[in-house]
Amino acid sequence: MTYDCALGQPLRTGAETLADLYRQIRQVGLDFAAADTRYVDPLAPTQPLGGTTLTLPVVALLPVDLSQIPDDDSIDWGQRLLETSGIVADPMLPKAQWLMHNAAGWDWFLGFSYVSLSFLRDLDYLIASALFPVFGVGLQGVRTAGVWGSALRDDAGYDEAIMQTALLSLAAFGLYVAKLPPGSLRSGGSLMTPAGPLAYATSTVNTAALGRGLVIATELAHVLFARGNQNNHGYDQEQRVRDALTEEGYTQPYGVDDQEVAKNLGIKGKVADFVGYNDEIDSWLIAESKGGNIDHAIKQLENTNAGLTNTRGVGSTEFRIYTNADQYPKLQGPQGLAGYRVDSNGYLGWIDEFSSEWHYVEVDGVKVLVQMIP
Amino acid sequence: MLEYPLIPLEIKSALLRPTLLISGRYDAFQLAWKLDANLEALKKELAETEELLNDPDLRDGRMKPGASPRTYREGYLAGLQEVITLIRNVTNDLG
Repeated sequence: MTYDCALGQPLRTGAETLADLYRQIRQVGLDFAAADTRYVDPLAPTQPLGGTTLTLPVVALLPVDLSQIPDDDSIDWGQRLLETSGIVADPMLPKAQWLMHNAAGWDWFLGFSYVSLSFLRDLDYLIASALFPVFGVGLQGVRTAGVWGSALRDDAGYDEAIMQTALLSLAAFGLYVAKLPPGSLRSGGSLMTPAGPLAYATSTVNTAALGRGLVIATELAHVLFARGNQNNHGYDQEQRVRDALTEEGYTQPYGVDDQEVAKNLGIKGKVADFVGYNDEIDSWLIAESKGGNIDHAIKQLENTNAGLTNTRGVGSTEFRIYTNADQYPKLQGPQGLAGYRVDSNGYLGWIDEFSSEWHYVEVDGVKVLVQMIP
Repeated sequence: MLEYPLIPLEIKSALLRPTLLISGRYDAFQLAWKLDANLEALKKELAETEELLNDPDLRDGRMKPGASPRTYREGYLAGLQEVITLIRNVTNDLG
């Protein structure tokens, strides 16, 4: 299969469905030059891969919407990768051992890693910040991804089809990066935004193959973004909160999601989902929707308030945490949620076990109201 | 009309600490299941929990000794340490 396209130009694959796209990408081969011995199969260290056409059994693209990286709960992306690539891992066997045991039959393994870089927070997607086309490194990539992925909530909603798309799209992307002549990849990698334009590697890209891979990956990234949002429960929850607060009369002058808020308020670190202003009551509201990690939610409110205060000066500000219908009753019960409870009005607090005294959680002297996600 | 019998304050206080510790420990083990026993991810969670417990800004507030969120986190930390050791041992046994 060949594609007639130039780097950075739109590619018309002709695929009408995701399945068609999968099929097309599966047929993209990798033809290593005979002289290229940089990538050596660690399972057969003396045998260079030169001259072999390979397909990639496991590849990855991470559709990381940075606004969707909260601080609590988690999923194991490494595990998801294995599962969605058609491999069912034995849960009793550590993944690393399992990979070592099973990978011998693979032609190639392309692992991945991604990083959360503060200067990239204004990008909606961070894709494939690091590619590891050597098996041994790829294995490490999976481990690394598992660690970083642990920050992602398991209701992120990336279903199997989405992850398969992700896996395949990095195949199209990564394998060509691996193919570049030494020294030709100057800026490294490719950063994409859902808006479409690419910050392509400014390398001496003289192979149509690289362009092909990048463009296919881009197209898939768009599919991923659209589908990811449709399936993203966390995103839905946040959106429901935003909608409800908008109905209450709040506008969002500093942005409509945590990335924009962080950028516009100059906040580094944890930031809340919602910063709104209600001109009828002349009051600000900082809100965070959270599954269950109240500690992180408080930190997000505090950080965001510091950013807002630095930008706007001191003013009237309310603080709210929204939690789901499963968690909220725990806050009302005797055991609480992670040591926290709410009073009869919904204000967050905790108990000193020595004195049995109740203490409110306060941000800048203001109580924090906890409500259920609408 | 009271729906539940009143529990004396002393008993409530006595129940609180072990309840929080057990709850934290349980959540740590739940996390291990959720993470498919991923040691690296668990170690990262452990480090974050230690950081929270040692945050100087919270030392006089919700993370001071005896504060219920701290007690919960202490249980959680102990649970994480326990589960990490457990997984390591089983992994070693598997060779």
